[in-house]
Amino acid sequence: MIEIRDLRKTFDSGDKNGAVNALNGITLNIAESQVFGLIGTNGAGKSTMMRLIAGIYRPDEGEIIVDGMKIYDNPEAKKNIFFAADDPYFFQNATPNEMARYYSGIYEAFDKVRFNKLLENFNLDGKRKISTFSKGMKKQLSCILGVCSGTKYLFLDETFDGLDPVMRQAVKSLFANDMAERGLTPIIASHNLRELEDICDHVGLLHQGGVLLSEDIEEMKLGIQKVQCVFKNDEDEKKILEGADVMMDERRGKLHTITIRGNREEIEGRFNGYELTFFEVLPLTLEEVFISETEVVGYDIRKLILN
Amino acid sequence: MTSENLSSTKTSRRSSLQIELTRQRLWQLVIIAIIDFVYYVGATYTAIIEYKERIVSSDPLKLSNIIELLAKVYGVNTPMGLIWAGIAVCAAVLGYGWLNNRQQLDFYEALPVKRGVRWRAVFINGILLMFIPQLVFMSFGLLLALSFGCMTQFLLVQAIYGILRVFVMEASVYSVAVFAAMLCGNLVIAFLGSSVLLIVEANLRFVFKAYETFSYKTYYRADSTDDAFYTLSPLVNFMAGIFDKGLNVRRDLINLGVLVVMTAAAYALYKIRKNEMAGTAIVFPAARDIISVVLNVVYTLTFSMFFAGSFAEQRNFGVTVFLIIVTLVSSLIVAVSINMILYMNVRSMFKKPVLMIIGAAVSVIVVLTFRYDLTGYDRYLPNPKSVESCAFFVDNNMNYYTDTGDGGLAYTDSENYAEKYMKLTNIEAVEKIVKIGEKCITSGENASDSYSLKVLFRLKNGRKVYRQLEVPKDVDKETMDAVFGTKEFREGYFPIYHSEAFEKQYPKNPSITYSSYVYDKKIEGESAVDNFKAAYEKDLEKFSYSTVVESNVIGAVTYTRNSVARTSDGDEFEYGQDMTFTIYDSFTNTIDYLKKNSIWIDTEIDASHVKEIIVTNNSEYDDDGEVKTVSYTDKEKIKKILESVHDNNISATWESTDDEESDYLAEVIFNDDAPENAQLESNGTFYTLFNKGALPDFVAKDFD
Repeated sequence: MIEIRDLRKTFDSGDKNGAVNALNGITLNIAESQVFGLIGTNGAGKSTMMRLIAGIYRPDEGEIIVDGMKIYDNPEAKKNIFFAADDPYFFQNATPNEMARYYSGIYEAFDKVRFNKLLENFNLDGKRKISTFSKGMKKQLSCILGVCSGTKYLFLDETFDGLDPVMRQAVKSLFANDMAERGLTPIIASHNLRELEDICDHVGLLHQGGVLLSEDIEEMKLGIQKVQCVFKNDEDEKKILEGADVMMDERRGKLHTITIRGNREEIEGRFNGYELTFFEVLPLTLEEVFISETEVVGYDIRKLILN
Repeated sequence: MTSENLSSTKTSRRSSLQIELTRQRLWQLVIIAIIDFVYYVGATYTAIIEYKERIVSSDPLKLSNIIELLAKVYGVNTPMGLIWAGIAVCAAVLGYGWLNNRQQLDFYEALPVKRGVRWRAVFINGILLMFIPQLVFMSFGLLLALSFGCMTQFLLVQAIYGILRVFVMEASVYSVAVFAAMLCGNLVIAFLGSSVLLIVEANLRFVFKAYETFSYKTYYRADSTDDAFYTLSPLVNFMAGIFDKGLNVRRDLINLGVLVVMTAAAYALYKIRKNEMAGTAIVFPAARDIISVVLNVVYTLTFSMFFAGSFAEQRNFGVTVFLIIVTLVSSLIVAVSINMILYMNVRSMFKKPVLMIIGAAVSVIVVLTFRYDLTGYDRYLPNPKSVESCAFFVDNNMNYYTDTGDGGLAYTDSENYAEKYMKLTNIEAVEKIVKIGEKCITSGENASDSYSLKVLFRLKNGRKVYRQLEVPKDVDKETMDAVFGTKEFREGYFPIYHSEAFEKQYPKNPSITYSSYVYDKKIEGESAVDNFKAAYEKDLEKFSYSTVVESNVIGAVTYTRNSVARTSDGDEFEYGQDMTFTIYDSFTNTIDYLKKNSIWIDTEIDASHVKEIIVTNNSEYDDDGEVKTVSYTDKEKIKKILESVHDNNISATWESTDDEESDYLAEVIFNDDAPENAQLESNGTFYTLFNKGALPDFVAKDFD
């Protein structure tokens, strides 16, 4: 369990106008054995937060507790984490095998056999210089090294950016396997919500150094329904929607697309007993959930993370 | 796990960390190894081959020459200081280069390794990277020398001393560069910072010294026994050590101190350094402001120094204003350059104008402080009540000896002699002269027409204060007499008052030689010496500034004594030492003594022996800008000039410039067959000065 309490970080340039508040008092928890997605625009503070949780930066205020231990400059706590940066570093002229040898000296649980197998699966040459790898190949290697290090937490900063869809799927299945087998907790930062849609269990949305929302995706989806319907008359419409927590109501001709808060049975119950020309409850995408949730608090999520 | 196992695991982890670090720095290791190989093995081989080739030639080299040469390669005075220091700086800055690179920071700082452990590992790795190849190739070089029969104990000892000194210097420079690396967030700036830290003190001292020279100064350091130059810069210390005679351990101790302090400071900086500042020039914003002001002042003063030097002699207000403007412009240029470097942005050249103004203001204040002694340091006079006694150091041609306290005799100078024996107690009178002397310096006038004096104040608290001053030659005679006419002055000025040690050490063949004109006359024996001393001391009782400046120098007495020593063959031989005393025409007792003992020399030159007299006036110039000279060959004029001159070869303690004749020099050229030529060493020429008030009218007219 990673607990973040009132985390603050300012980047000091030395003059009053140049100081940047990267994180303004963030508080959130990251539960074990689930995929945590950290979403936010460029400059929202995702990478700063990842570096803070990984113990690379020292918090100005607040604390980060990983399994009951403070993370900064604490090797005991860091034994449980692996940080794959958005632009991973490999030694000059090093090969994947050499990097694996280095990591095996650092992480006691590093699985060399699995590493070799995964290199083969991902079609990466263990003896080839990493400097000749493409950006995507370097990210794959970084993920493989991370998974093989056997740490409990795996921090991935924009890792899926640069991976082709096939490889993205392969990496996801890699995580899924480790989550099932040894309770791996991947924490993935991305500026693109769609990238995380089918992998994250929990999503935290960062905006301007603060957490806009942090919720389980399933809970979010269960609590919001999207209904498409055509009312017979305006009076029925008024009665059905009276007292309902309508988040959005888009109308195209007579067809209403209503996003409404509540579970499926409750919503279906509202419409029961009325004669409707058309009625259907549609599945919600994560994107739609986010749009709905953030619009309520006054943000246009499309401008933040979808473009 | 037992504590033994835990310890062994730790050691193994440290070793593997070192191996891993070395693997990543392999290219640096190879370059260092090549340099060490070329220097130690290459230089040794070249020297030995040269020796082997020349041993059979007509001009063979001795083995001792080669060993001496090799001792220079391996010894404490190795000329490679700059290269070793360069290696140390590179090892430090590149070793911690990962701190300035976000990609590497993400990698290293996320690993489960304590930050302090990683820092220490890199620190040690850098040291090993320098030391191991050096030790290895030095050993190879020595083995090579041994295989060619050029190895001696002397060389081995030199090599051990040499490598220890180099190691201390390298480690110290390395620690300074590590400190710079911790302070900077950029490789290039870290290299620049290391260089600045290594030279800034020497730079500042040089600049201050230069400003001292350009401005008036009364500060004087009498204790010149240890002129070695010490700084806190390990590199400058090491380089200065090349000029040391023998092994100067003080330098190594200073460098060791720097190593300890800078390593601790660097580690402390690392602990508070924020990783997110990687990439910025200076990672501590507050330090950047201080550095900006300090560098601004140092380099503004360095640039302004050239202008201050050019106008050192001109102290008027206009020149001062000009120097202030020059300083301000220099400061602006320096501040703008520093801003661009420290913010790594051309657009930041005018950032933080307040700091720019502070830097400029401090620079101007420093320039003015030196120029006008704003601190009052050079006008300092101790409170007479706090002074025990004083001494004046006046240069002269007398020889001085003092007993060393252990029965020996030391040849010394007027300063040390006065420091030992002169105890002036009329402090007010001394300070009156010092004030005149300081005023002379501060005004910048009369500088060339003054007496250079040094004064020592012995304070009651045991402290000694030295000052040097320029007393104008037109100084009030009574003021001077109040000090220089006292018995206390004479006893610390004339070696005749403390000649016991000299006489004890040189017991044989005492003699008195009177030199005047071109001749010497000598008398031997203890009684002759005693009589001379009695007559001279009686004359000295009347010695004062006013009597001396109104007198003419007519000759000099040399008091010589011998001692006996043995050659390595056991043969006895005599060697002597002497003291010289100036004789003025007012010294009637001494003149009577010389006459009574038939060693008096009549200074009247026979005009028939003289071919020509060339008179020069140093203050007059002809149309070509040369010093004006007039040649006299007329016998009558020659005779009149000869009646008015005295020997210039013997200097007087004081020379008044009140008189018109003081600017004139008369060069007497004798006939080829004149007897004087046999006495003169060069070209039959004899230099004379005109007596007080005796400048012939025709000479004055010719120069009018």
